[in-house]
Amino acid sequence: MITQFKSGLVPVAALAVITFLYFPLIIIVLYSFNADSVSAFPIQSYSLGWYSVMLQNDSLLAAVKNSITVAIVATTLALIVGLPAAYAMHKYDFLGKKTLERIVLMPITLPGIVTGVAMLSFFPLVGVRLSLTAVTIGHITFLSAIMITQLLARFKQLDPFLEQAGYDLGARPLRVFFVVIIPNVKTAIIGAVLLCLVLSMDEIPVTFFLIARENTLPIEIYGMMRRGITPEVNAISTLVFTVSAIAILLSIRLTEQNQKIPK
Amino acid sequence: MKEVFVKYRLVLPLSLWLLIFLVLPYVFILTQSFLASDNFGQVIYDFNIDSYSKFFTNSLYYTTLLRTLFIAVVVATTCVFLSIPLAYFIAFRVKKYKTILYALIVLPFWMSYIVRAYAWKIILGQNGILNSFMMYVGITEEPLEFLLYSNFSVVICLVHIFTPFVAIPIYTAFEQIPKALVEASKDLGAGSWTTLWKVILPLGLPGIISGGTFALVLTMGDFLTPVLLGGPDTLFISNIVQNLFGTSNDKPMGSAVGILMLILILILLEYSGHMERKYASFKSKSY
Amino acid sequence: MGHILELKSVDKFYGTNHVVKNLNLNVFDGEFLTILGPSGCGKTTTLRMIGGFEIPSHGSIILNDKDITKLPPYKREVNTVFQNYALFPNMTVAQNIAFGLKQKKWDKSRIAKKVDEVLEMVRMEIFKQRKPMELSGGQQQRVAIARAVANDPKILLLDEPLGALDLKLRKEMQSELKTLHNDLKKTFVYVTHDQEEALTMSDRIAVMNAGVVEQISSSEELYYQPKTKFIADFIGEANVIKAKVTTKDKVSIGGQSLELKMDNVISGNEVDLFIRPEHIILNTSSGKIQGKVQEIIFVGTVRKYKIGIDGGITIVATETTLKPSLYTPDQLVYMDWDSDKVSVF
Repeated sequence: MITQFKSGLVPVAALAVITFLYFPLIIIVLYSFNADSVSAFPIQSYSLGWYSVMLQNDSLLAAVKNSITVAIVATTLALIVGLPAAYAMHKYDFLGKKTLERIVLMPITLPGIVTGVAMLSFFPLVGVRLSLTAVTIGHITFLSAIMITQLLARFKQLDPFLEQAGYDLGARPLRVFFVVIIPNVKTAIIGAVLLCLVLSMDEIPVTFFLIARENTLPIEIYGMMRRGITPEVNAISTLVFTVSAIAILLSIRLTEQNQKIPK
Repeated sequence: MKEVFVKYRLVLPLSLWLLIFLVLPYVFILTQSFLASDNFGQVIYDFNIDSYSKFFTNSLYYTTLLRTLFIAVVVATTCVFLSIPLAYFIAFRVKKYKTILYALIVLPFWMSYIVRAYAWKIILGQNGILNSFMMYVGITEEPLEFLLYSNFSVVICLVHIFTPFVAIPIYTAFEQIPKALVEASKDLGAGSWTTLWKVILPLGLPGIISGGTFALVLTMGDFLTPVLLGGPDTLFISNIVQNLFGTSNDKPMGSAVGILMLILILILLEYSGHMERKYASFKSKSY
Repeated sequence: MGHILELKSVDKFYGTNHVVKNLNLNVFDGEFLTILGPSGCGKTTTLRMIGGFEIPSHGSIILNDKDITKLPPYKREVNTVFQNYALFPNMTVAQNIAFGLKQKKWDKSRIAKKVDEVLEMVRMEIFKQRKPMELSGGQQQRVAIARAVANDPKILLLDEPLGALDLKLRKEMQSELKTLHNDLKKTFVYVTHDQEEALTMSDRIAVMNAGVVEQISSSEELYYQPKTKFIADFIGEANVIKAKVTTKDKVSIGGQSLELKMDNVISGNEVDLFIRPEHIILNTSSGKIQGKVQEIIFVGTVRKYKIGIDGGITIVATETTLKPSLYTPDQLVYMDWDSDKVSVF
């Protein structure tokens, strides 16, 4: 006699895990509209009060601005450094390629805290004082790793004959890169950029050690949390969730879309 | 053709950047771990291995490392147990909404770490949502105190944060198992449990190892959750590093602890990579 | 007709792997030459060396008396139709075709005229503004051909271009390619592993095996006078019969003696006789050797007889199905043939 899973068991377990993953996020969103300052069950009345409190918190707003600046600058530079390198790593074999591949993965595989304290110790020696500049440099370093892994994955899917067809029809390498390669990995580039923006906006371990007086958003939230529970964190968090969820879903979609190229 | 130069020119900016801002910092803390510091926290260029010997003789250091390792194992195991039904469900039971469900586990993967820790704080707090819910429906009379600022809250938060990291590689591994093998197993008279136990789990083992290692390594490197949600005795090895570079201001000691953490993690990664290859049944894997 | 392309003692190594061995090949101006061989025989590598995607390890490639051995692909006056078409997915059909002409810095109106011209040639005018993804396999194939032809290459290189199409479409495209070749009067170098495709389309076929060209000749010559055992086996259906040389000009097949003209063979040696099934004439009274009908298989236009002789040898003979079968299983029959239809290896 064949024993089937009780038909409901697997879906119920899976659903329970998904609920566990989303429950805290839903709580944050719900309680950002709570009129009360104590986060208790049930919510007595709803209001947008915490959003207006948030908008009057100057240091929070400054932190948002800092985070956006760092994210944009770091992502741009990570793209400038990462794109040509990813292409070369995909296309060519060169001396030290294996080493480079390993080093690129270091900021992803090794714990952020060690990277953070290493940068904290070394940056002053090359004239980078603890500041948002140091934070940006730190972010460029780990974002270029993200950028390269994302782009390499896409380059690998690219039909190698497209490039050869470009040469075959008389286009030189640089032209082939801009006219054939780039347009066909365009969505992956946008996806990787969105991902980098989100990750930079959320980064803590490295930022924590490189920051001086001006905070980024997650560090500001960290500070607010240590001081106690302030429901305006719910409000800003809800906004962060919404923006990053949109960016990530867009990023997933863009990366996926590109895989449906005819073979 | 000048291709030889082209390829080096393309990787040069990245290589230089990583050398200056990543490799040299690592080399530097390795060096720093062999130096000493004076009473004012200034690093003195005096080569010694005191920091390392202190680590292995002072119980604060090595017991903290062991405790961190223990909690990391608990977190990783829990993540794996939560991920298997989830991955199984998406890989084998769902057809139509596969992409949507997959996006549902990828989404929290990238979601703000700090905000999720914050969420658990308002859920588990003494006057928090869970306690007030339980009193509201009459399960308890008094708020339960052990929920927050304890190992319990640290574990639950870390499990919540790292489960997507574990579920994704397990799902990828399950998805690579040819559906025909599962059908063959059932055709040969094996029930769903036997198929799961004898076919799916062994074939998905590399993904399980890979995912478990992620959770293990990430927990070991975490220092925020213990600070935000942990109790007075919840101290991770990372918190010691953090303190040595902060209030205690003993950078050589901090560097040594960091380097030892790094070595332990590299050994774990190497070993898990070895196990993944050993149990790999299919070629071309990347999680 | 003179040579347009010459490959002189070309060798290609990948590491220690010797994939093309001392290849000498002359391509006539305007011919349809097919390089035929099983996978891994070096045919695609040869084509890629002509296209400029691989550089020979030794030897030279001469196009129109000019040494192009080390010229990059974008400086060669040859164009390739790739196996999986390699159409740029980000460009429309028209943009794909215009791509090569833009590299030549043609002006817009001239490009537009040429694009229309080649699209008309492959009957794809109405798909001009489509993206490759929106086309069927056969349509993508036509665009790929049009894109290559638009550049007016000295030689058109085709790398298994029909491999991805289904059987019916492949047959259609074969005859279209042949027509295109006649209309364009260009040199085609075509690579395939499909012998039927090679036989139907080519002026000449070069058969490659393990990095070596074993024979270059017309389809008929290849079919009826194969020079090596590999070719005899590879092209079409053939009987390869083991025989023992008894005396000069005599062999024994499963105990039956047979007269056969042979050069340079020593008594006692084993040889392989090669004969096509359709060249064997069956009758009941007399013939070169005798056997017993084992099986009769109806395959449409022909009827196939499997005839067993002593020594465990089976010979296949075919007859047209226009007449009813005169033989039944287990019947003894004689097999006869014209002596010049037999090759000996």
